[in-house]
Amino acid sequence: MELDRAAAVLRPRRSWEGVDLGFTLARLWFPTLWLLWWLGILVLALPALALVGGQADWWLVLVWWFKPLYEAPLVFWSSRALFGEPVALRDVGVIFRSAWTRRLLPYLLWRRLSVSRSFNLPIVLLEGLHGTAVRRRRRVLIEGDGTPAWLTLICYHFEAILWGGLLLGLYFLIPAGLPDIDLAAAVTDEQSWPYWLSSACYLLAASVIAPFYICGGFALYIGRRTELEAWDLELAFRQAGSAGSTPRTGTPGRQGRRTGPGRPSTMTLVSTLLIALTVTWPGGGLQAATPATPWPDAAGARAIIAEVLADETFGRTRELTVWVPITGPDEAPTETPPWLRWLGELALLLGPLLKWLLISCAVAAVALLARRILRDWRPETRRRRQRSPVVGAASPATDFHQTPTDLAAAVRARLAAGDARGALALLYRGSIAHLSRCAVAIPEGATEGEVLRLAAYHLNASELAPLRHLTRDWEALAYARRAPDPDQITAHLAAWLRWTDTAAPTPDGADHGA
Amino acid sequence: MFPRSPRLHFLAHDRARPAVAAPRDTVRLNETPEGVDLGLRPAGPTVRALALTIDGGIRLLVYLALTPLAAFAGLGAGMILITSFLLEWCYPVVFEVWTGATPGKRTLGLMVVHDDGTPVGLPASLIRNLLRVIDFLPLFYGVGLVCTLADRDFRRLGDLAAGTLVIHAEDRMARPAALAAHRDTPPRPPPAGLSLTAAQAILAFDERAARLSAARRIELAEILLARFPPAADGQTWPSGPAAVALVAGYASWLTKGR
Repeated sequence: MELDRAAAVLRPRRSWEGVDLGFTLARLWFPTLWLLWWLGILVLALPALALVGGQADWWLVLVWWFKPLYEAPLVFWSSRALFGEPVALRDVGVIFRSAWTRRLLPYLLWRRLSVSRSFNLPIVLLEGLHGTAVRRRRRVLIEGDGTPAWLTLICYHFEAILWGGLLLGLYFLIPAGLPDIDLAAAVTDEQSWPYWLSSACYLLAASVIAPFYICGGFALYIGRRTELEAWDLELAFRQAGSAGSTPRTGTPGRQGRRTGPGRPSTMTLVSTLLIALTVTWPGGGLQAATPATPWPDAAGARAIIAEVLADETFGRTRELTVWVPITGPDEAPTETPPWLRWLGELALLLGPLLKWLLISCAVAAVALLARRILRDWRPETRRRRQRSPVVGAASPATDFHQTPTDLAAAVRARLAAGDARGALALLYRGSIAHLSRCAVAIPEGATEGEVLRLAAYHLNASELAPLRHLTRDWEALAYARRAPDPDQITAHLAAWLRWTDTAAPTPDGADHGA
Repeated sequence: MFPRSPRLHFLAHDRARPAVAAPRDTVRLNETPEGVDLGLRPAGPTVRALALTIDGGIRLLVYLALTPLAAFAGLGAGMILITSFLLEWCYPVVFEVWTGATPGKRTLGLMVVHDDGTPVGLPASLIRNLLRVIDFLPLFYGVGLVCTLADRDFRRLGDLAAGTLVIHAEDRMARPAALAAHRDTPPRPPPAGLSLTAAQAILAFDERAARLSAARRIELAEILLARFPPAADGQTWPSGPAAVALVAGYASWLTKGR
């Protein structure tokens, strides 16, 4: 294991960032890992198919249970690939022999449902520990971190989402007319062909997620070891030696920039240099190194400082040509005239005044508004406003004339006083009021003819005839000023009394609406 | 000072294919016009799925709190519909524009930014959240998941369209107490020509020494000293705990000066 050949930047990361590194690596290695997974599963799935006698549900459970078997080669291959020794797929025998060891057995039996499988597999497969040692090691490495368990849980959901998405996508995309997928059968009826299709979708989803899951757990493991064993510091220390032995040239700024950690090209340059050095150096490398450069004396240091400061990084002289306005001594800025200053002071005085005026205006406006709202919302106003239109519409008999209780007496009194018009008007209004009481709905603004037509629907001929005569006489009086003689009015009154007696024995006048 | 455009720089890097592939990292570097590399750390699908679940839970709680409204037949149903519209469409946008992350993302230390690292604005946030509908297809973000797994910076379709990234906002690695606050190690000047990275590594070693095993501390200190050329007076470098003490002295010197 050579740290400086690592395919990933080793540094301490937050757990979730470690998982992200694993996902990045999985994307990088995806084709290989995917093929490896399928190779592993084919070895098992085909014999299993014969074993369960073509029962889809048992087959799926079996294939699912032995997942660690197909994941182990992925762990092995990733570990080799991370440290720059990728195993070619030609040597698939080597991969499977190294991955399928006896140590994997617990993960196929009682540890199959372990929640941090992808984190534990590298410990078991790569460190080669047994019994209590592996348990203690696992406890040290995991140190109460819940991320491996979360990773397992989330990847299970990813699998389910991909599986459901594939199945639903197929279902949506099959054109009408072709045999449809029965989605209910696809998850429940193990005898149907949709179930087999659904199983295939599940395997496809699992194959896609497996590289990411395994690399995520592996990267968590690597991150934890980087933190515990300071791999990043070891790398930096090794590079410090090689950087320290190069002669000092250029300025510190440039030097720092060139060897900065974020420069991939320099990184590789340094690492290749480092590989060369480690190859040539037999042991500690002390003999092969150049003699030390002692600390320079004061004069030398000053020269170096001057050299450093001479670099344009620390400022330089430039010649610029720009246009500037020519200002002679006579064009000095003039004194502000006194009236302008006075105006300014006045504005300063007026300003607060204006402000308070505006504020008081606003307060007054708010008060007015509040008063208006209060008035509008006071209960009695609301009641009055609600009732008034109803009153106007429903009582044609209400008038500014005080209608007496005994209408007949009032009519007779007017007749005696010689007020034929008043008597007839009173009688007509009494008829209308009585019609309203007889449930004849008279709309507001109805003409006398319309009232008569409406009444015709509700009254029989003997009742309607007097009303018709009354209406004709009233129209003649109202529009042509032809007053009927008092006998006629008395006849109308008698007819009206007869009508109200038959319809409503105790006419109580027209002092209230219908 | 460094009159290079970022694009040119990366192109040049791509063309000169190195003998050994550059090591992968989860950092996306953005070079500013001043030549400063800004490192953004895009967040992957696992942590984002978790954040999404937390946000879903929060919305579910709001819905549960609203269920009594169903008692008012017409008005209640209307209020519930309006609230669900606002929650589904405005919840992510409002939080992203306002605080840079929804509560779920904030819990997990994530943040939404433009892909150049600037805080996300209203247009980008609107676009990425409108395309949520596409990413949701066909079942619980199936398209988004595949897209996130395939993209270099874990972007879903909405992120690709809006030019945004979901990043790890803060480095939550536990930082040890302030350097050299209670140090009694006498400062020792490190050898001349110490590179910036080496100096940083020595300081980091001092910070993290307490978390390392004693044997590993000694091993690391010896690795560092072995890379330095021997001293001028022919004195060899110390080994064992003395080497660790010497490196601690370097760290003290780097922190405080002579």
